[in-house]
Amino acid sequence: MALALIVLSASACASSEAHVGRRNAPDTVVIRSQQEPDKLNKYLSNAIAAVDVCTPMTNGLVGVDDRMRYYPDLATALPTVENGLVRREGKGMAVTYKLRPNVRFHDGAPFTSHDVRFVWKMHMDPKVLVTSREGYDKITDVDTPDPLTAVVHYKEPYAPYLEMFGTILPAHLLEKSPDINRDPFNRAPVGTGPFKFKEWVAGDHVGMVANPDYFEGAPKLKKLYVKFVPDDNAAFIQLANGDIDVYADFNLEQVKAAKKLAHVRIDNVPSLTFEQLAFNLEKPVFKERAVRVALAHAIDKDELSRTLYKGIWPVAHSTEHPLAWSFNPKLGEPYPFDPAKAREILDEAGWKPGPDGIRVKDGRRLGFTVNSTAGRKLREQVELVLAGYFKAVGVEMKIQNVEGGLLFAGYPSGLLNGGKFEAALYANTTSVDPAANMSSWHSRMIPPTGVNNTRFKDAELDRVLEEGNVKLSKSERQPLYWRMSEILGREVPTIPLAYWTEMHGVNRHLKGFKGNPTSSRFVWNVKDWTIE
Amino acid sequence: MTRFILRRILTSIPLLIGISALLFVLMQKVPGGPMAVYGMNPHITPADRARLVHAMGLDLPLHVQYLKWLGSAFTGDLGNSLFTGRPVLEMIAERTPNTLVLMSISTVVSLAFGLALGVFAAIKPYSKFDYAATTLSFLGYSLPTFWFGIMLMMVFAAKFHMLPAGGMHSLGQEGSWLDGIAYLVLPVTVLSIVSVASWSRFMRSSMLEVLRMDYIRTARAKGLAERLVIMRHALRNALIPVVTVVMMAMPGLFGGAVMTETIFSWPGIGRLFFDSMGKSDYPVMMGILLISAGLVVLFNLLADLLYAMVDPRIQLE
Repeated sequence: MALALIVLSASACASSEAHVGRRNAPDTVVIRSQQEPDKLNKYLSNAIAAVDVCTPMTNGLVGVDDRMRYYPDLATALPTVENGLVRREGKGMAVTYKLRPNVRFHDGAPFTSHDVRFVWKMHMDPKVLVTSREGYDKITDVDTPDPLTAVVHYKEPYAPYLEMFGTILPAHLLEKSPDINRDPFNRAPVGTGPFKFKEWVAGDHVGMVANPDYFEGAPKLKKLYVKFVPDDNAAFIQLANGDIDVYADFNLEQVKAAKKLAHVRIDNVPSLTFEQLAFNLEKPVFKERAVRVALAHAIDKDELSRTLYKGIWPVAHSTEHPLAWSFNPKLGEPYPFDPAKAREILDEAGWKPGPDGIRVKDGRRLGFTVNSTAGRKLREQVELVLAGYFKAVGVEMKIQNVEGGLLFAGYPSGLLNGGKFEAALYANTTSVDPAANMSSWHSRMIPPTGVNNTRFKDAELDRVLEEGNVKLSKSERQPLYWRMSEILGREVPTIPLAYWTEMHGVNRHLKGFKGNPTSSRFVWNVKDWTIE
Repeated sequence: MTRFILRRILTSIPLLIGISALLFVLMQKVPGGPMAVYGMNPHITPADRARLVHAMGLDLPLHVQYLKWLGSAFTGDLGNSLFTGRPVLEMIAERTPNTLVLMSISTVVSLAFGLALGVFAAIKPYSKFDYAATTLSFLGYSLPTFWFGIMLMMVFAAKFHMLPAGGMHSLGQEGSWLDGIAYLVLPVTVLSIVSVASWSRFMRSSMLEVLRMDYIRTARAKGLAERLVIMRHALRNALIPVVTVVMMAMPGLFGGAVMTETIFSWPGIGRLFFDSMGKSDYPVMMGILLISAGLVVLFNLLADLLYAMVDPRIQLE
């Protein structure tokens, strides 16, 4: 067998000397995706993989660049209050999109305002299983006065309107479909993007070819593949071997090894996701603000960031990301690492150290259990370190990790959404527009209605969030979200620990690659990629 | 014989229904469920979630869901995937050829090497060759697939660039046979080494037992050449129990090898099952498990029939 292996290997490696860190053709790029998308229709899929595959083939009215700025994509201008394209209309508002002329779908059909209207219609069709109707359910109508103008009417002011219509689908192919959920389109999409769909080999890859008629000019690459490689170790070897050019989403453990690969550069992208220790404010132990504040003072976030997060994930003090305009720069570090202060606060609150060092009040020990996702080594290490920090100030933290599915399942079975936890260590993701905070922090959004899993209630914050959702200009909204961060900082329903950093391993021959912190991901500018 | 076959087929129907009911209940009792993958998406509101749950029929009582599934399974429809929305049978069908290619090649390779190794070890028991074969078998048997696969990739792909590290074809060159063969070498090696170990152990003990029989001694006493004794008398009889074991292993060809397929990014059934498990995609899991269970029943029957054919002492009634 060994002999057979060697003979076969020798025949297969005829060209192995030729490649210098790459095995693919000079005009072809292969991206690794851990998962296989379920459908190539972003509105029907919850998979990140669907974003990586669909984005090169489609456009939205508005895009988000790598600095988190909106830019007009299929629209010719960003509609704003200032340029008159957004205006109040009774109790609601109207947003006018002027569309780019001479844009064609891959099958040659022209793109018009009718396609914009179709995207809304599809969302509201009860038979179509779109994963989210957020925002679309506030639209009363989409007018199409001419093929290159779409006017979207909202029943109430909706601040994150620029996040809508992120993908335009061809109405002429889908509106007559008997069942959009099962339409062949979902396996072979037709868009307006720089790449055209070529093939989907189940379990293996999706192949795309350059669209020579792209409205911004043909892309520089000829072929683009997204290859499904489930195992991280295997994907790493394929990157090292030059089979894949882009390994998206490295984990922290792999970075050290990746730095040794001469033909690979690591692209660090700030992420809107942050790691946090969240509290269930309905549990007696966390009803007391003093306890939460003391715990915040007890954590040495700098040490966590430096050691366990390898200096790659920066310390977080806010639920908003420093790159976002909603981030409050005046907030600073509300609770610097100060165990002495933590002890003092607990002393004052009447929690006195018991015989074993754990604090006691009215016969109750000061302790809680933290839940996190089992099998994530990094989180398990962080939990141990946190338990040490808390013990040092007289608080006992027990660890109970569960399968991710159980932690994140919906109401009532999920631990977080169902309120069956005391504290939890997990990551939360914010959006480009801060209006998404509504579902995390408004008192009306306590489960089962929303995902305010910490069960946080604050009358002022409710008011601030409501106003933030209906004010339309950034200058009016910014002070509101700054105030939000102050309130969350003061009340500590959650302790943000560190912002994630997305790390992509990219073959050095690939130029033009730019990571994007938003859900547009790194494929947002794929038309500019070249191989040199 | 016909009555025997008919009876076996008829009794297997309630068995398969029982298996499917058990699997259905077990899957639903696993925490998380199909909606958990939507849990961390902040844009999916509880209202959205409720809408999806209802549309997928996940809010129906467990027994109603099961009966609906069973009803359509009887008509040959294994339902649609909760995530892709595609017919389960279609999804299984497109992966089956990939799995069959990988599994049948490695089965042929491992049977050839395993049986030969076993026979030679049995002819000269407790010789140096036997000890070496035994040691190698135990080594092969205890190699963790995961680790071994990664090691092979590190050496032959990452270090020496001799072989591709995973997938089925070089992207952009589908259809070239030589290219396809290069992608088979490593996964086949991993799969074969483990099975060679167990086949050779099995063959060795079966052969040893036969070689102790009186008729072998008689054959030798007649002055028959040793080669003929082994090939004509011993091997044929020693293969009888092996046939059963080989038959029982056949359903595994369909299921594929979850670990190997995952490590080598091989788009087969094993990986489809693994992916579906991660998403609690019940219909796909049920489909694969039901077909596997059906094949186990079928090959058990075939093993019995074949056994009767190779061993005239067995009567099936």
